[in-house]
Amino acid sequence: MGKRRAALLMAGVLAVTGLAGCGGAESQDSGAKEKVRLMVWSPSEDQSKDSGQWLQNTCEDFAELHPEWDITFVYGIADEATAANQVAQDPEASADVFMYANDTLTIMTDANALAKFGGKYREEIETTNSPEVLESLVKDGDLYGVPFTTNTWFMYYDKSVFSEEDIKNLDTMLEKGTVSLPFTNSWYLPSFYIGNGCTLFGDGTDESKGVDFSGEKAAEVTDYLIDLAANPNFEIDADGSGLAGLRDGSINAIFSGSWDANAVKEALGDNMGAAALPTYTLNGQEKQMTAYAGSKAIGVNPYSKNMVAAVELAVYLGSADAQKTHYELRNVIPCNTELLEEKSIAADPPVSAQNDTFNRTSILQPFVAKMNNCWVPVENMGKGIRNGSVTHENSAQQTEDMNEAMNSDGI
Amino acid sequence: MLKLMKKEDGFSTPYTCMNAIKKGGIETKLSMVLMGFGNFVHKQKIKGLLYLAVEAAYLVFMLMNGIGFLSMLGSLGSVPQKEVWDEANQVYVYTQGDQSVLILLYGVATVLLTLLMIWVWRGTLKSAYKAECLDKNGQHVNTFAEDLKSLLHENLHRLLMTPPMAAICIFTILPLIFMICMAFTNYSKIGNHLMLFDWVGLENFKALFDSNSILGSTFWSVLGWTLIWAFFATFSNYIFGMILAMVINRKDTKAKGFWRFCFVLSCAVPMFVSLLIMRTMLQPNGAVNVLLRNLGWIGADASLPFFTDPTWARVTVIVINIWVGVPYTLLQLTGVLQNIPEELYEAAKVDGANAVQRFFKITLPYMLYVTTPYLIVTFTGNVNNFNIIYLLSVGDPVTDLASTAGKTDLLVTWLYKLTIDKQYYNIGAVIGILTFIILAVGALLTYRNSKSYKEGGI
Repeated sequence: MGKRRAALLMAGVLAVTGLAGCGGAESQDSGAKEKVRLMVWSPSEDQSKDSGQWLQNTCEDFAELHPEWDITFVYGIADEATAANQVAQDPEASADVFMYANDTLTIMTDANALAKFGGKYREEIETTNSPEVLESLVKDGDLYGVPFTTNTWFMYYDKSVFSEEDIKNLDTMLEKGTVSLPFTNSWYLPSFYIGNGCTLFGDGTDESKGVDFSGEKAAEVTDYLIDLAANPNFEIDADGSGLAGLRDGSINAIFSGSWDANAVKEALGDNMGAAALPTYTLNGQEKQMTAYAGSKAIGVNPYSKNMVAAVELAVYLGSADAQKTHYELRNVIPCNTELLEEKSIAADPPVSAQNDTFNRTSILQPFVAKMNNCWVPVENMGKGIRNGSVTHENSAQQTEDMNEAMNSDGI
Repeated sequence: MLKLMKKEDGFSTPYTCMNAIKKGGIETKLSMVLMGFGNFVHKQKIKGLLYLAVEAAYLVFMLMNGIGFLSMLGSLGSVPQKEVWDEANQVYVYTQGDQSVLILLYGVATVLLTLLMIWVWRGTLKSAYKAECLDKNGQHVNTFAEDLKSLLHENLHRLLMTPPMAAICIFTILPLIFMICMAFTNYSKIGNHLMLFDWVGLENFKALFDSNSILGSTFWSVLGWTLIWAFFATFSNYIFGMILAMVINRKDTKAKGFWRFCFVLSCAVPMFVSLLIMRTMLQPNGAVNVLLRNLGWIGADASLPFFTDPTWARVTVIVINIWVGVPYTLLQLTGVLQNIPEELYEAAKVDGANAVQRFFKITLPYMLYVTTPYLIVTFTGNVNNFNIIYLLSVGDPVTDLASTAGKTDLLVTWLYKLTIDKQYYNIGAVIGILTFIILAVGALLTYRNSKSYKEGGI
């Protein structure tokens, strides 16, 4: 009799766990571990053996912290810049947790492919990040990601060529050494226009206000840029030529981001300097070069079958511990407010330069949908100046054309 | 349509669908509703049951899903994604909204399935009528086994053609119709219509043909360059390939195999590799410019504008295309050259024709005769030559800042930019359709007028 009862009980338990397995999240109280499958996408460097397999290790730590789940991780490669396109195109086939650059946020929200963070998770994220960083991930009052680094560009320079005083002004630098800037890259070029009062979507969030890169204030920048490109001490940085120039000494300052910190260190050694953006002299007046700044964040797929686990993992991947190992392994500059106060981190030149840029010489890169139209025209302006098709004679007209194109869908 | 098919078949059959409806007995007429009934009554039980099973399967599918799919096709869905705040777990939970793309796809598939069903329905009527006639006249009615056997003999074509036809329907025709449908919707990033979109009729075509819009002016300039490119890319390859082939094929040329090997060698490197290397070499600070500077042929900081000046860029892509394309033409034409009967040349020589006359009177007509279809295919291929343009110049340079296409963009690379980079899927579909129409009309006209079609019927 006892045996039969035990057998019945066993069958019952099996049936319950079996059913619960189908039900997904409701099985926590059944005692058995819930099987969870999480697909995680990150840039390849986060997973490579050479840089310490940050992602795998952090995910395994996460699994240990959550014994209630039996997690199977599936890793995939998608860098922050392009993950959004993949996720937006087919959210159901995309990762549960992925990393994205905040300027691609609307690509995903337009495709209903990005989950919001709320409640205790949002509070946790808000207490560990500065309002400026959070602002880069908030749309219509909702938070869409866990920030893990700020994302902007600043200046690396050779201390043996430029003094602390020189690096305050680009034109002073050009007299003393050779400077290189990714002139045909529309992430860098607008810094001159924004510095002279050109605006994008009002304060960056008002789509209806459009882009204002027109009129005298923009045309005189175009003229400045034509002269800059023609300056023998200025080199256009493309396909890594700036970094190569730093190595062989033909270039003394470049504009880039934290991802190049190691390479610059190798090239310049102790002479490596990093600083926020300089000013430039336009018609005798000092104007501040102003970069686009944003953040990189961890996002969650709304189609995820294990929402709780996915959100927990996202928050963990953006936690202080994870950011610290990320910084140690890959020089990814943390944005967690507590970490930034640690002396060893704050003293690192790229960290201070990036934070200085973020706080002082940048604007939050707009991520309204129409921002999508702003990249190609500026890139073409850069190329036009390089190729000589934009000249002092037609600069005003070309600038208006660029402004028109930035405000148009091209239809 | 029926008449036309009969003409082509060369024989007519009394067992048509119309005859079945008009002259068939009650059991044949009943087959209209209860498929396979006629066959079932007239000694073809298994065939009748199979028809019935097909009908049942179709009806079940339509009742379960099909009607739903069809009814959604009109509106293409309207329910947006919903989110619910799960207080217990502190997360947002999302329920899936309508996805217009999937609704469109399923709808188109259901329509195709229904057309297929109508075709089967006609088949069942014909088959029932035939069985009825044969049975009533006391003739032999095929058993199922005999039907199966006939598939290996007189009906072999049905057996062999069915799998490829099915594959073409599923993998070519269905996606094609699906894509064509997109051209009549507002499926585009503009106005946030990526998840839910609607039918807009001919709006997109209007925008494209409106020469005042940016899109319209871009379209005509891209189309013009596409045709110029296709012409030069095709004939430059053809002419240079022909010259090489003839030089190598001359009687007095020694070591023909070696020369052919040399020229074909560039095929050995995958095309995209050579193209990307070319691209890097021709950049303003690339190897070629650096070399020219070091030689002192151009100024120390000057560079030749290979991809930065519109005319230079256009010539550059055509020239590089010669380099990667000539080996293929060379091989193709060598075969044709060797086929020209030697007697023709000898007779011409006896008559006193010189080399030029022999070329224009014998070689060229013969080659054109054989290779016109090849030329048409190459021309079409060049209109759609994505690789060369996208890997070499990416469509650059863009001189008109407002336009979405560069000066070397072909329709197909522009289409790629519009769909993949900009996510204007509807406009992309319109351009795809127009490219198809232009190509199809051009190819058919040239082909029909070619000598090889008129005389040989290749």
